[in-house]
Amino acid sequence: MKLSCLRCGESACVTCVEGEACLVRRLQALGVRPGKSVSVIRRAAFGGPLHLRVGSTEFFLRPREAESITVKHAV
Amino acid sequence: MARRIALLGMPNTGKSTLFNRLTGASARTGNWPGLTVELSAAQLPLGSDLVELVDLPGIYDLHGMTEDEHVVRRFLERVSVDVLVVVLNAAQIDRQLPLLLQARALGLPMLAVLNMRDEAERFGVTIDVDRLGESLGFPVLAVSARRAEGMGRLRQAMAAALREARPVPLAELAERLAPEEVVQEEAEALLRVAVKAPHQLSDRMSERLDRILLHRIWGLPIFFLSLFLLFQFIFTLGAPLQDAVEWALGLLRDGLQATLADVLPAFGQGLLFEGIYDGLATVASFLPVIALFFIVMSAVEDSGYLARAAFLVDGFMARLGLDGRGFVLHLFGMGCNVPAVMGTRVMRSPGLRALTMLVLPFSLCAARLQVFLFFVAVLFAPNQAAIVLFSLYLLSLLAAMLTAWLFKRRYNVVEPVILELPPYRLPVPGTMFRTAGGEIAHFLRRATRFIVLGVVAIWLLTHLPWGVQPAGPESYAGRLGQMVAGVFAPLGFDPLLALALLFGFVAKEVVLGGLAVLYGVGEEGLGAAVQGHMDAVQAMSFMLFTLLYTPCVSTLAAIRAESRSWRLTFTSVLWSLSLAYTVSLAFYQTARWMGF
Repeated sequence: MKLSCLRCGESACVTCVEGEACLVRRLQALGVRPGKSVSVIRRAAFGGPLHLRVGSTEFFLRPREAESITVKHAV
Repeated sequence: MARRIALLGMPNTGKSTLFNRLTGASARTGNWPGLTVELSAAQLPLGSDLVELVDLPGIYDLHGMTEDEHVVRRFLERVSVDVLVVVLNAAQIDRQLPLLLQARALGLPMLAVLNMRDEAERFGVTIDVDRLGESLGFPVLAVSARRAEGMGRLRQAMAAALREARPVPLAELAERLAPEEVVQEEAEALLRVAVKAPHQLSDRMSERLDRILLHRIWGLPIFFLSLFLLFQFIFTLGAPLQDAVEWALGLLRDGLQATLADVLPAFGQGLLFEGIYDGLATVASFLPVIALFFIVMSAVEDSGYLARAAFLVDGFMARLGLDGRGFVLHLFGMGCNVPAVMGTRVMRSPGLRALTMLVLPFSLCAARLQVFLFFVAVLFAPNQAAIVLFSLYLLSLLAAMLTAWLFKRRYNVVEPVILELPPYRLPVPGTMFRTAGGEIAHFLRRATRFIVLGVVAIWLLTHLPWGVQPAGPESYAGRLGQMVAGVFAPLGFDPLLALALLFGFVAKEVVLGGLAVLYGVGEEGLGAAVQGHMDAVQAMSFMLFTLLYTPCVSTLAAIRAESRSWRLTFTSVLWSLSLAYTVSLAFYQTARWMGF
């Protein structure tokens, strides 16, 4: 499923990062890679960005960019 | 030949703070990822050598395609580097190791610095530094640049690396880089042997603060309240300082004038004192407020709160074709538009930068505020005054939004918005003052040039040709006023007001002083003169025009320098001028039609 399906406070395991090469590289550099765990900490109001955490790195991105990240629930 | 050491690292690793610690130079540092875009370099004594230390822009990736990444690659290919120092954020070593391994593939003599080791401890990350160094084959040091820990050892290690270094030319840099998968695999292996980190990493303090400051409902009100308090602080503290500077400069002027009275002819004295000296004094009297503004802003920037503000408003800004960073810059612009325009450097897409630069001059800066405070106090009752002032701030925001909405199609903006939210940090006073010092020096260089030129021009226009009554209808200024009078009459401006606006183009600070010269009174007598010349409707129309019309020359120069585009610069002038004219015309004619 897409990262955007996660509720606030939920974590999941990244399975795939795809899209524009530039965006994928940036996400990889921030630690978003297949196999890593990513948590959605909160969403801003008015359809605003998502606050994410991967490892010790926190950042925000827009819902449109979040579409390029696919995740699955860890079992 | 001078030997050279380069600092390489990702944004937000404290690279620039480290650079400042090592050199004591004033490179601009901040918590905002990727802020250092110009290359800063400084001389660093190492042992018996004097070495050039270069702070490369923060980059995520040596393969990358952003402007900064091109800059770094070009630099490494063209400039000989004796030692490459790679700076990593120790708390984020899990994702930053790949960059270090990429850099190693270049084959340069190297050194790795794990910065922010104090923060890593806070996160519970422990790193076996020696083990890491053994596996990598070059020295690795854990330091904290903010706390000035480990700087001595770092200097020694740099000197040692330099003794063995032979510069390697790096043409065809891209071919030397190892494939991504190989790098990633090696990084994972290294992390397994040398790094221990808890499964769920978080910094409790930042988490708790974020729960309040990034609250869905309260986040924005809290942000605006803190901003308001900061501005309050700046002006409460700045105003008496400003008075003190004005008083001191007045004394100095009297002294100088008395000394030079017999030496200089009257014309030269007028030009020197009413022109150049008063112009410089205007700038100088603004210095305390501006210095405070920069110190406070650099503290806010350093604290990590600005990135949060960008998060809070990004959703709304996206609809206008801008992003959260643009909003934060708009707030910066309330001090002075110039540093705000320079701040657009953090944006990578030229379209987004251009659109943001077009919007920023509508931010109601301190210079315009000064004009409004004066008019509001003279022409409105105290209970109306606050409402008028507030409506002007509101209008400046509306103008900015309208501009973004109208132009967003022209500057097609596609930039993925991904911004790090660093942990909250207490500002370090040293860094704060160094940053502010650099900014103030920059402001002074820019401001003095334009304001001196502007004031001298005004003085000459009002006093030439020889022998006319100053600012009278026969002077060049008077004739110019007559020429433009027809254009401005429908807005309710008399020729003198129109002239003051022309002068205000140079710097909005000049408007009041200009009016005083034109009405032939000192700044003390200006209140009465203004009351005699215009009513509330005219004054409001004048303020609306002052709020919206062309950015001052300094701001335009900044827009031109940052965008390298005359087209954007002219668009900015023409658009704001037509908006100002339309709004003032509509207001004045409607008000008169309604019988006010």
